[in-house]
Amino acid sequence: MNRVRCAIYTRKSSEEGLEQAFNSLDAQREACAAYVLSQASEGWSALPDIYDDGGLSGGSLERPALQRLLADIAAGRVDIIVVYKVDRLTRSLLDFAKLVEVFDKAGVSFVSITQSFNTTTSMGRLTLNMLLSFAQFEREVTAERIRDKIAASKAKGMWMGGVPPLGYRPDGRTLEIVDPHADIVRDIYRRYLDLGNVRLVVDQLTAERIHTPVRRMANGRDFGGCAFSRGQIYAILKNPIYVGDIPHRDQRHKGLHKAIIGQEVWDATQTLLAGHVPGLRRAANTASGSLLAGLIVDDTGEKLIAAHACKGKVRYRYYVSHSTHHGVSDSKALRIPAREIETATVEALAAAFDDPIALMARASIPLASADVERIFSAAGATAVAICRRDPELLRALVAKVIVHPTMLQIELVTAAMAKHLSVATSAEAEATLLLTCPTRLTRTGHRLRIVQNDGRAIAAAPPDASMIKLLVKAQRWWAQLQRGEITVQELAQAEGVVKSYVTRVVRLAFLAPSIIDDVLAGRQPATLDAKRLAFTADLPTSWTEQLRHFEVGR
Amino acid sequence: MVALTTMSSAQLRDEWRALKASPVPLVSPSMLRLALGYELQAQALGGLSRVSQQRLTQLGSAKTVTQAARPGTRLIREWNGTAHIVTIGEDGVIRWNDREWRSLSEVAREITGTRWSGPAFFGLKKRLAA
Repeated sequence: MNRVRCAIYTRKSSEEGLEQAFNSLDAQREACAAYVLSQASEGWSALPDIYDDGGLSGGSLERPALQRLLADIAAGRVDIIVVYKVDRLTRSLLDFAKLVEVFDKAGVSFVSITQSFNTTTSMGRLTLNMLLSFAQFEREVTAERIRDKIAASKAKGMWMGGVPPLGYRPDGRTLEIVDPHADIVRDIYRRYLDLGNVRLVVDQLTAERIHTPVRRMANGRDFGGCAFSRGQIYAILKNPIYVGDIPHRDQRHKGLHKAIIGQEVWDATQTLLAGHVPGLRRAANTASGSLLAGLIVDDTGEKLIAAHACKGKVRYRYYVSHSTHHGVSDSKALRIPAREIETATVEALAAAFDDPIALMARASIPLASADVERIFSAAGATAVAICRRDPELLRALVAKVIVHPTMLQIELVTAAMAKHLSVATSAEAEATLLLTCPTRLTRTGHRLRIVQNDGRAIAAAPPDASMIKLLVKAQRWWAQLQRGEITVQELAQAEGVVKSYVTRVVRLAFLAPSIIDDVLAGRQPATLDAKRLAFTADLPTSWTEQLRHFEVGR
Repeated sequence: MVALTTMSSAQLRDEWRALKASPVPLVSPSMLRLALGYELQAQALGGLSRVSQQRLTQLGSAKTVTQAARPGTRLIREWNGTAHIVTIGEDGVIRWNDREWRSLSEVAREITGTRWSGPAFFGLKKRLAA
């Protein structure tokens, strides 16, 4: 006689009563074991393994014992699963279908000892499906009932559990103020109203070593004891619990607990916060905004953030690694001048539109020969708009810009491209096309530049004012020295600088004309700057050597 | 050029007198060597272009600033009730009155009958705020 290996699975949703010596799980298992014993003449024998899920809902399959059981089924260690009732296995029809599929594959059947039916017949399967439909219905009704109860309780101002906000501890169905913590909350509101800026509040708290207090969760784990984050401060400033209300979804009800801060402080805080809501992304609606904000990432997928610095009236825009911007310094962090990378992107895009037919071929968009002329004119118009840096157009066309050390990749949105060429996309077209533009990143001093592969800077930058200033100074001082009436020492005194500086600068009057032309036109290599000009140790006399030294015209 | 590297201070000064017929600058021999090297190369290969010289002088005096007329620009100047349109072709050639011109100043002279700075006449040269 064949031995039939039976696995007994038991489950109970609530934890209530599980601590008893003989609980519902034991009762289920005992009944199942008795049933297995009654079938001993058929060769049934219960496996010694115990598959118990205590306190776990039948709504999900994420139950440890069930997963263990499924693993054993897959390993072929089980022939029959014995359960007390079908809904012990699952209450969800969808999950049940999944389980049955797994069982069928492994050749495993299951037996419900109190509900006798035979799933090998159509009638049996109908009965089972009906049963499960009711089980699922029951579960949904229960969930609805619980949701309604929570809503009703909150409408009465009750605290319905969870981690209590800082300053309170749970007290039955309401909250009780924890005075030292409440003081911190009041202090945060006061500081925010003083400073009007969450970042400054965080800086102040960090500087004064005011940290989140250590609190204990219901499961005994401690948390807190670290510096306040900006997000935490925002959460505190926006939490209506502090003004004595209980929030429920988008509603607020008068709470049973006491308020920590007064209504007028709350109102002032909310007004201030509302006034500081960031506006729309600037790139889409201003001429000088960062075109690629939100689109640009580095080769590891880390976002680059549009940032700027101001010197006087001049704004220097950059795209900066997310980690650097948030204070975590990293040697691989990027800080790329915005105009350069924007120019590179715009030029690569415009160049791609110069050959719309190739673009369409790459996107596998079919081409009708009658359309060619129209497509070329549409592509030309689009290229012109791209060069104009039309922000809306660029943001529609570009899905992502990826900065690699040796190249720039642009993900072009196929649908937007087709729209601007006024052709229909095909079903097999990819969502995006990858354009590659061979540029590399070079560091000059602390600055990171993006340069074309011949070493020239990407943007035909406006001429470098500090370099030109040096050249002008060199010419002026050399003109004075050339008259032979004044020594370098006297000139230095008259100009209020040291002698060695005069010497270093005057040498620049002897630079090869082509270097000066390049600097005046802003065409110099990205590695050449004012510092490099003035601090070159030995300026070669020969112009060809100078060109080699400064890598001009490589 | 090669000889410069080995010349003594006195020799360098003689060389300067021979080359420039002007007083010798009161600078170190190495600076003088650089200066002489520049002069020799400028004589052989041509020095700084007139445009660059003018630009440096202009930047040095810091009184005016001239914008270059870029290819593809159209310059419009009203003179005595007539609007004159000068186009700078994509090839950089100045065209006005169905003719090509060598400089904006020539065009300005033709329009006004007197010598004008072309860039100033067409508004490319601006006075800097003091």
